[in-house]
Amino acid sequence: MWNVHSRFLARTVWVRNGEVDLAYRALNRILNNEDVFKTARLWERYEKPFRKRGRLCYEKAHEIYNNDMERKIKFLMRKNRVNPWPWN
Amino acid sequence: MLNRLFSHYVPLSISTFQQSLRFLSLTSINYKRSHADIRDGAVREINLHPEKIQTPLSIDVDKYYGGSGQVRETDFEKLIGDTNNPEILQVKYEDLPIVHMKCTRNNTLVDVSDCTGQQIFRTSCGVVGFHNAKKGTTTAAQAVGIHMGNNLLRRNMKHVRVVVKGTGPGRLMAIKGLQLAGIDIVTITDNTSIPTLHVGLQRPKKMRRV
Repeated sequence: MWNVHSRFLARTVWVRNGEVDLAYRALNRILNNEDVFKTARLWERYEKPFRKRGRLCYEKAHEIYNNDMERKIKFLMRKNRVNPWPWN
Repeated sequence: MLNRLFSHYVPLSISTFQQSLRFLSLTSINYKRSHADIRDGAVREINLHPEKIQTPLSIDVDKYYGGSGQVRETDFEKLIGDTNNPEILQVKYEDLPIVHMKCTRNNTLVDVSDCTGQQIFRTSCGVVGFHNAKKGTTTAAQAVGIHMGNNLLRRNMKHVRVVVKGTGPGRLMAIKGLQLAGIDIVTITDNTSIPTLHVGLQRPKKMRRV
């Protein structure tokens, strides 16, 4: 395996039937799922430690809030049903 | 006893024989206090996470992870070319030329190289005729793509693989420009630099405060 071609094994996407848009979108979706653009944006400029600490705290709090909200919605949706005693 | 069991139901008169039969049928049921077994009621089906409908603009990403969308070692020997025209030679994937695109915030640089890595041709937004801030736009990127495409057709290189680097406005439009010029793009790879932590890591510049 040549060294020039080894970098084509990862992060590549075939273009089928000349549809370049779909291939590009698929590639972007994969990269977003793996947080490639996020890390590239973070490392563009140096992030000082006090900012990093604040960002991590915010992300953890955000995740906790989202999980609790999902739990609450799931629980409350159990009440969303046809009234079993419509004569009452 | 029966009355106590079904006290929360509507009180049914036990006088007639038919209704007593009905009671017998009810006693045979194992009554569970759950919403699924409510009499004369139904649970409304609510889809919290509905299935994604495959529209023409949506695509199954899972197929690309392990399916035929991903490039494998065996694919380097794949032959690419016009199947209709038997005169034109079919080229292996590993012998295709590579188009590199560096998409920065203020500019897009595009250059073509051999399969070995030797550079053939180079363009950028400045070559096409844009200046200063207008170089960092999508229209300039499209113009660069078209310019590059015309040059490739002149050198008789119709099938090409693309490598994209960086996040910028010209990421998609440069590829579209190539397509408009009439070139067959085989694969799209992404080569954005993700810095890994190691001993010799150069600290990037400080944050920009405007």
